[in-house]
Amino acid sequence: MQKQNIRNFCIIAHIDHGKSTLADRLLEATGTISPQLMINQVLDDMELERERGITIKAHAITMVHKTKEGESYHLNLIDTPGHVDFSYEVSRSLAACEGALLVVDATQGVEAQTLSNIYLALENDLTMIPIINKIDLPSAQIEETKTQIIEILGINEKEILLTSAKEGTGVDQILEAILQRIPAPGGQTDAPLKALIFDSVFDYYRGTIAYIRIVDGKIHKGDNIIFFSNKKTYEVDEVGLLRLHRIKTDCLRTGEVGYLIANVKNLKDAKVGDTITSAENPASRPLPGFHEPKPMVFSGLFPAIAENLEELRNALERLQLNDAALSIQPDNSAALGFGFRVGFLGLLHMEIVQERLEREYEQNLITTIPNVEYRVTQRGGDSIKIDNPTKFPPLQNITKLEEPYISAQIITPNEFMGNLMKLAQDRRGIYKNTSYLDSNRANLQYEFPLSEIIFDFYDKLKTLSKGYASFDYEFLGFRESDLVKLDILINGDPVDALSMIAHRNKSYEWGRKLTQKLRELIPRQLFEVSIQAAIGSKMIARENVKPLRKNVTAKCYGGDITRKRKLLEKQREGKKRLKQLGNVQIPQDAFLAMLQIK
Amino acid sequence: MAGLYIHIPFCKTKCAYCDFYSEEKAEHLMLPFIDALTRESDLYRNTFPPGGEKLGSIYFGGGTPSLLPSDCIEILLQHIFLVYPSVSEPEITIEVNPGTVNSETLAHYWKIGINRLSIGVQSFNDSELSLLGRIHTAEQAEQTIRTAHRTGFNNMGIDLIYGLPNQSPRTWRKTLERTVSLSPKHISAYELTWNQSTPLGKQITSNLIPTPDKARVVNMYLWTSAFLNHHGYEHYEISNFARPGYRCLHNDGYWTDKPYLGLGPSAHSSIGDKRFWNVSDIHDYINVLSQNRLPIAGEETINYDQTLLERMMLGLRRKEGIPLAWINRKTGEVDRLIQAGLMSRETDRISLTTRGFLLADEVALHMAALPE
Repeated sequence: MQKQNIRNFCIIAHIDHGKSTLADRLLEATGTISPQLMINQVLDDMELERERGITIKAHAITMVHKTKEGESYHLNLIDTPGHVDFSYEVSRSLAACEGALLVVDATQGVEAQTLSNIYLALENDLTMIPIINKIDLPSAQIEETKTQIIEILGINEKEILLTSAKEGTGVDQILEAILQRIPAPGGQTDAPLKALIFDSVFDYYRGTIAYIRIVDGKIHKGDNIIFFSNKKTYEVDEVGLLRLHRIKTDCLRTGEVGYLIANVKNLKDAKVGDTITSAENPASRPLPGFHEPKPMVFSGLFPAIAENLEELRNALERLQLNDAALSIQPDNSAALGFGFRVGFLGLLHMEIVQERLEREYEQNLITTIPNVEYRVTQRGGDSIKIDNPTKFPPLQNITKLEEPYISAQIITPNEFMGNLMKLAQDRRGIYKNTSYLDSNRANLQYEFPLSEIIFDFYDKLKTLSKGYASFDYEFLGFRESDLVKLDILINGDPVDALSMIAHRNKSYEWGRKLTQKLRELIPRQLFEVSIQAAIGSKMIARENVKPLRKNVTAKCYGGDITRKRKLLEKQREGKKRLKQLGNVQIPQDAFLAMLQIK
Repeated sequence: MAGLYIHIPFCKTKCAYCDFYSEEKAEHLMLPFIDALTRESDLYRNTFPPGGEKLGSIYFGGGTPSLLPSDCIEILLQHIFLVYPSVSEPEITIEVNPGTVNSETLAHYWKIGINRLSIGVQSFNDSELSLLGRIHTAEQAEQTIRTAHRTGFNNMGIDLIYGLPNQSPRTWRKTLERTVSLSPKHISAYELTWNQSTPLGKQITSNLIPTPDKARVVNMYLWTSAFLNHHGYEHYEISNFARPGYRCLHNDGYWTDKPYLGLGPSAHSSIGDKRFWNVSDIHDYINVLSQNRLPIAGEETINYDQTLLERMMLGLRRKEGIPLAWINRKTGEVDRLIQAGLMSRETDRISLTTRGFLLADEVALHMAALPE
């Protein structure tokens, strides 16, 4: 396809603002898929994604659109993940586009994620087409939403399109705007090849399939290519377009979006954001913006039954085939035995991985308290990053402790500002600035330690604002912090898997809450169980689980005996699922006690 | 020695707490039932007692066996001795509900060889008796015991229930004192266990009457043990007390892995590694036996592991406990239990203390769930 007849665009929207529904309408309107075949939200194909209503992995699809004049266009819709955990992936998808449909829910208005995506789009010089969706709903506030958009984008009201993706109104105008307003791809057709990998998936038969955008030059089957980040060379086995299925073609040209198969065995060799060039005639520089996927949250994953370690390893490796952002290292805990230290992009990513391990791979897991990565400078000056509290050097050896900070924006109706500023203060937030989107919506800017927002910050934010506030963040860097290691001792013995890093000012509160929670979670047993929290050798909180006093069958004759034995057999199986720590039995969820603290 | 249990599923009215199988107002079924019982006993003629053993105990339980005309009991006993070889003087127990017998009945029992009575007194407090739905008063219960003594019954057990909703330690003490004053050789003191399906259970679960206070029930148990010990009763099983030489042989068989055969609807049997149980419904029971087929509803062959669990769970119920060898390599746990005052050890046996009895199921579970 000639590049002047190509349009590359994405849809950016806050969760639930109607991105997937609009994508469905575009696919129908261009005849890419017939309405009869339509399963709702074609682009989200994993069960888990559908349940959570979010798109986890980006995909792309080429729609062929014929104008009334009979001219044919390729509209390449590049889908983007919709959660802050995946903001790097979003940025790479945007980098593959010239335009973006900015979808704003008329009943909700602009939200934090919309705003951060707009910034990303601006950074990538995308042409934005603002679309107000859900105009059919009685609670739609079309005028207010228009005002907000005009304010942010500095555009003319006439440029804003109105739609109800659910009812299919306004879709033709959107297609028209895509053709008219979004520029055709630039790039030089005769320059050395530069192709951006904006996503990749793993296929058991074909190896890694890279989703690419040709920025300069072209790529043929049989070409020798080289990946900039790792300098590995491959021979191109197949290229083609992404329709509902892969359609093989001879060549992908400047401006086109498609896939590439080149016998790349490991997903990690085709990294999102990397640039592909020609081995014979390489480009001098890669495309800007690449960096290695960077896990932010770490947690220990252990098999509930030690014998299942290999099974868990296989499951994790299989997940990793399709998730280059997942980092996995062997781990060993005195309490939980052998397992893995796994790094995630964020808490949602962690929950998704856990759920997939349990659901798709039927793994029975013990997960430890998640934490961020810390930078520790020891006496002698060497500075190391530590993602596991148990690996912390003794405090007296540490000269400097740093933790990751993020810059956050919270968008909220004015009435909840007080609540949210109090929450921010509780979470060691550093206030930066307030701006207003319109007369009733404020954009609060804060800096937070990442550790303060990875647990329940989002839930709290929603509760305190009756669901109206929204939140987005980006990584700032490491900053020095007064941190301590909080240990939990069960019957006097420290349990490494329950250790956590906390800010000194909060460590007493955490110690108290953790011991209380553990007291609730640990069932009464034959012997008393003591739960202590300690910093170094100093005990800061203590709770006891009182011993059981009675568990006995008063009458045990004839039929009672069989009934009782069967019950004991069942209970024994249940007990085997408890974790034996010394002489105490602890339920698996106790290791995540911290997440249950309100 | 083997035991024979015979389940008599008839009651005048069902007690509020009872979830054993029985039928009310079913006198018309008594004769067909006796016929079915004799057929059932015939069907085990060559297989019971197993391995050349002899019948050492017979136990008529229910339901309310004393509701059956004593002539029927006589016929049954004669038939049993015809069918199964027995020791010369087997223990023969019948459960007696004080509201259903008079001196003639008791005299007839004595005459036909019954040598032990288990009297369902439950309480010597009339309002507690009515809460439980018993058909007799405290006074009637006492009179039945006195009559039985006069008739010649020396070996007599009294069944009591404690831990009733609203029961004060004081009324329980009074019941125990009055029991002891009647000098039975054997006392069973059962904590009230209520099943949700029973009328009492329903009242408790719907909060019409309060749940018995847990801490109070524990204290009553410990006090009961001390009190009865003081009066010369040995606490020989979790809920059972006896003067020396007067344990219930039949029941002791359940806890010491002796073979037993259960006849009658819903009765359970245990022979070797086989466990089997009869249909519950009396009509089914009679119907199946009228075709000379066994009325077995289910059976199970237990493996080595299950046998061990069962023996441990039952053995720990007894004062003598279990051989230390049964919990090989878990002696560290034994030491902890001893230290916690729940267990005691005598050379090669371990047993639970009174406080330990209250945790018998938990200890069995704990031991069984420990990794080898």
